[in-house]
Amino acid sequence: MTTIKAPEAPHNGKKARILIVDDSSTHRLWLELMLGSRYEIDVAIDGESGLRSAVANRPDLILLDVVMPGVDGFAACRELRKRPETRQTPVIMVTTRDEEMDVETGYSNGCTDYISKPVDQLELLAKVESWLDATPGAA
Amino acid sequence: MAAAPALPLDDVRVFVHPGKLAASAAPCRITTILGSCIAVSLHDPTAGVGGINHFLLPRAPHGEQSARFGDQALPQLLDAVERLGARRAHLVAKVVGGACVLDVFRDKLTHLGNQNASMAFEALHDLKLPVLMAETGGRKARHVTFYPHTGDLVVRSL
Repeated sequence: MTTIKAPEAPHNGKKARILIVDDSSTHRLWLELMLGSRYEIDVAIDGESGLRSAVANRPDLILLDVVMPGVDGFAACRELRKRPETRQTPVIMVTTRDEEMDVETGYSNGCTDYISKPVDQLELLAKVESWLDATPGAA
Repeated sequence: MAAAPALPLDDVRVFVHPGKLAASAAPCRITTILGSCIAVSLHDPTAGVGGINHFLLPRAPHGEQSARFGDQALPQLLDAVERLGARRAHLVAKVVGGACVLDVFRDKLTHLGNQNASMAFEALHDLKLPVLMAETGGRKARHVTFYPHTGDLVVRSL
């Protein structure tokens, strides 16, 4: 688990905290590059460590990949919804394009929203910003 | 070698991703999945033409031209169905989506789903397009199937 300190703070001096859970180092890096200047970023390399990080660090929002070894994104999302610390945390599933079933299963397992790969920066920032704006207590 | 059997047009299925739209004058099924997003369908029963969009956010933050945003998605859909022969005077709209799947946000009238739904109704009002059916808000995501040649829209909660 790694924490990257972002240099800028767009929300009244306090940065919102986002957890990226993805087993692909390339995808993690790409998401960090897109978000790191605006938010404090935690990363986890699989579902299990993502769950631990979410409970320990209480992020304001979670970006959750679907296909991961061990605890996959669906199982991780179900678990997040069971735990009082993370029950109300927005979870954006990152799905593979053309997998309609992934989206349906994601919602059935409690995700808040989804975004398709390849992730578009404008879409990602707009969604993240919208959910953080709506989150009571988030920066 | 025998030719492969032709696929009945009714079996042609298109999945509309967020920020995209689809329109057709031929029998087919167009599906999409909505959480806080909104889909607006337009149908001309006389021409048998219809289409549906799927937008994520009410307005483009920096004026981007993209169907990801409600203020762009509806004019783009209107253009797409008119190109296929629909006439504006015959068009009817259906609006679905705008859920809020987390309890903690639902009391806030400004949650994203509500903003998206408001945008859709405002835009349809401005374009003077009648809304035949609307199913917005609520707590559950929705699977939507739209039949562009008949205008039928089937919604299933997830």
